[in-house]
Amino acid sequence: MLLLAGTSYVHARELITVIKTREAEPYEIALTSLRRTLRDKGIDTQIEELFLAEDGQGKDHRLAELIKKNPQLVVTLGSAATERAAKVIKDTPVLFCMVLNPQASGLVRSMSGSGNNLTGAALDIAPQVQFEALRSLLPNAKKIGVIYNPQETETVVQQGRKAARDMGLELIAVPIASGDKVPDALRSLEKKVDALWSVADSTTFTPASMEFIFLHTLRNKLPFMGLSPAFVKAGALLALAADYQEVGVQCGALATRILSGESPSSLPVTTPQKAILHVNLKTAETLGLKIPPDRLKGAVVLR
Amino acid sequence: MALPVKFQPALLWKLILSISALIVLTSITLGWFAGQYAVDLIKSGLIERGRSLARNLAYNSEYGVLIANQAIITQLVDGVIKEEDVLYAVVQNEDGESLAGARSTQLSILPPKTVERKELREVTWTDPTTKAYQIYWGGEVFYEVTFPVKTRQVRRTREEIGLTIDETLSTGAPVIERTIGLAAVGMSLSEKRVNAAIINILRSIALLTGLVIVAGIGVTIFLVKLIAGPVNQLATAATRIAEGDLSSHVAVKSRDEIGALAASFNRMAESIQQRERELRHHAEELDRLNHRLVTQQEALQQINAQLAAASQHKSQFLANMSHELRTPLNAIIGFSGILLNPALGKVSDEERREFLSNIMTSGKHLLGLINEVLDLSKIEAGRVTVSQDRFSIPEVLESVRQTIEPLADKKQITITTTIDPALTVIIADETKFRQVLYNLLSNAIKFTPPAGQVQLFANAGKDGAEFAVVDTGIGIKPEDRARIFQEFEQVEMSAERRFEGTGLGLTLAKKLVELQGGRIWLESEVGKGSTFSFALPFMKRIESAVTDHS
Repeated sequence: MLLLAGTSYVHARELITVIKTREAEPYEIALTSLRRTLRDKGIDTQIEELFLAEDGQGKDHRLAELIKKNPQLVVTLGSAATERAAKVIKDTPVLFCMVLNPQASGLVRSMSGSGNNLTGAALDIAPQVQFEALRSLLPNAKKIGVIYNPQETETVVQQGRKAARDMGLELIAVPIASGDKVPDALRSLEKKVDALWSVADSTTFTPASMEFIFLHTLRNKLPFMGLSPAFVKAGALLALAADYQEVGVQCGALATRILSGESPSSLPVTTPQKAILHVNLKTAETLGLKIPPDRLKGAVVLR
Repeated sequence: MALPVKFQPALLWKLILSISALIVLTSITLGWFAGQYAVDLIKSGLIERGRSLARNLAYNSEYGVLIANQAIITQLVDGVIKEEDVLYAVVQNEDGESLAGARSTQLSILPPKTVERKELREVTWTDPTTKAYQIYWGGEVFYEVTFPVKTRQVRRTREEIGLTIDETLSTGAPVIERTIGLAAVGMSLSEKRVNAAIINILRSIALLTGLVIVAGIGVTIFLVKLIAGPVNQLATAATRIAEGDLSSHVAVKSRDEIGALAASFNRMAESIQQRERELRHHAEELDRLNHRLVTQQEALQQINAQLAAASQHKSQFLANMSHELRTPLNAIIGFSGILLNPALGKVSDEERREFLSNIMTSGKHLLGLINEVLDLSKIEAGRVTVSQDRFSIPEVLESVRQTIEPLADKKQITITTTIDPALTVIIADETKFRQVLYNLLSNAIKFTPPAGQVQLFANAGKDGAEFAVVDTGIGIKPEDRARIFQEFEQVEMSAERRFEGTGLGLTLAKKLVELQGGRIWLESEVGKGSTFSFALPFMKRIESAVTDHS
């Protein structure tokens, strides 16, 4: 589906093209916030939206057409859109928004500077912040398990190991090479760990495996820390989530700087400044946990 | 008397039996269809349940099949065979190799793949991917329902794993699916369950049939009573009408066909009654006419008899007449012949006088006879008028006595007259009165032997004057008394009559008396004498006449 907001050539205004591969509410929240930030900063822009179907692998000629229009900035929403844009767009600045682990994905060389035409607002919440949230609910948890595919999320797991060590915790990471190893990996973990942590690993979390993981963790009373509020809704005990509006604002600030002539390569990738705790009390009940109310201050609680 | 129509119990039983038979037949048919339907329903329910189980098994097996994890799938199929009616559950991979299977205790082994199966195409599935088969294996019939195990070929990365989990966990999103295996569930119709269902249906139908039969009997009795009552009334009324009681009515007031029938019946009865009244009236009229005819016939017969008698009288009269006329004529012709025949020589003067006297007598007799006949015929023809004369009875009686006296003297018969002093003057036809009196007196003298006695009485009666002539004659037998007033009747009608006379005297007297409104009658004793009486009514003028003489 192609959504072009205003197809006329108005060169007086800055042309920004927004690329997305999926319609999802968090992306829309961030985009709205981005638009508002630009408007607040007094930048007159014309924003075109380009929707790339996620299975349309051979249809990136539309991206080529987009480049011909010579937009001042390409904004991508999500990892999939960013990866596809990064493959084709090499000169025009690409500002990614709502992307998790851009470094692990290889989109940027480092969080402090991409070294290419990309920069953006990431969703990464530091493992330490995450473990602190986990520990606030489970003070006795010492051993934390995680299942990951080293080819995908080695970097994140490394960060996690370091953070755990610093906090006096132990992260037991079970590497898997394919999805069919998830049940075995989960079974190998269930007796050894006090909680299960998760990294955004597509080998571990497939549509088919997720149900199994949720059921298995609930059955075995294994507290599970998910990746997003949706995980909490689906049965995970807790998750830390970025404020998507804040991500949009960060993205807007970066866009302003790029449009004013700064190079993306030197602009550091931003990360959320605040993380919101989401807790599922039903799951807590199932797990037999008693969480003192003061621990839930400022948290979004699902009862 | 005809008995009123009763609905015999046999008829009621026949009706009840036929209705019950109809109900039972209907129930059996219904029961058969319901049984079939129930079996079909159980079967389709079984297959539907199998479909549900197979679909759930397929959904739940997705991950297990994807990662070819036998433990996960075994757990699932073990859960499925715990369900009632499930014989076995199998999950296969893409290549049709069994990943895990479980069977109920009813089966010793799982049916082999090569077992013959018939696809049930008549079953319309909402999901065309589901298939159902009927399988004959090991002498048992059972059903297998299969559902493909599918997976979504979507790989979520990074933040999308978390952001799209709602979509991932729900099945509503349009995503591309790939079949990676097959879940099959074998279902068997439990004979016990089918039988229990059928028995349940049969019990319900039997109960319903019983109730309907009871209700049917009730309705039949009600209907029979509803019809029999009025029909009985109609029949009773018809019987009464047949017996002649036309006033009989049917008191059926219902507004249905029977009511209409009763109303028609009543109209018919009224109409018959009306017609009968008319018939009776006609019959009475006929009776009356008939009676009149009979009376007239009798009158005619009487008249006929009278006519015959009159005719006979006429013949007799003619014969008598001829005889009466011939006798004096013969005397006249004989005596005048002697007088005129010179051959007879000398006839003395005495003899001549005697002969002439005889001729004279015979002539007078003839004249008298003819006068009487004339008078009679005049009376019969109605040409006689009655005059009203005022005359003195003693004078007229004396005058008539003097006239008749020479006849009485010849036989030395004395005539005595006795007159009621109250009777002086009368108003009547004097001439006719004289004639009647003369006729009666001459008759009395004629039939009284010589030296006898004739008495004449005149009395004033209550309404008129009565006169009686009493003789000491031969008397008249009772059987002759009625006819002596008829023309030419004398007591002895034979040719050898002792007494001469026209035989018209009494007839004439009777006619003359009756002409004046009086009557004449006779009392007599054979050998001793007769009394002829007549009465004349007083006329109005009589009173003034009487006062004149008082």
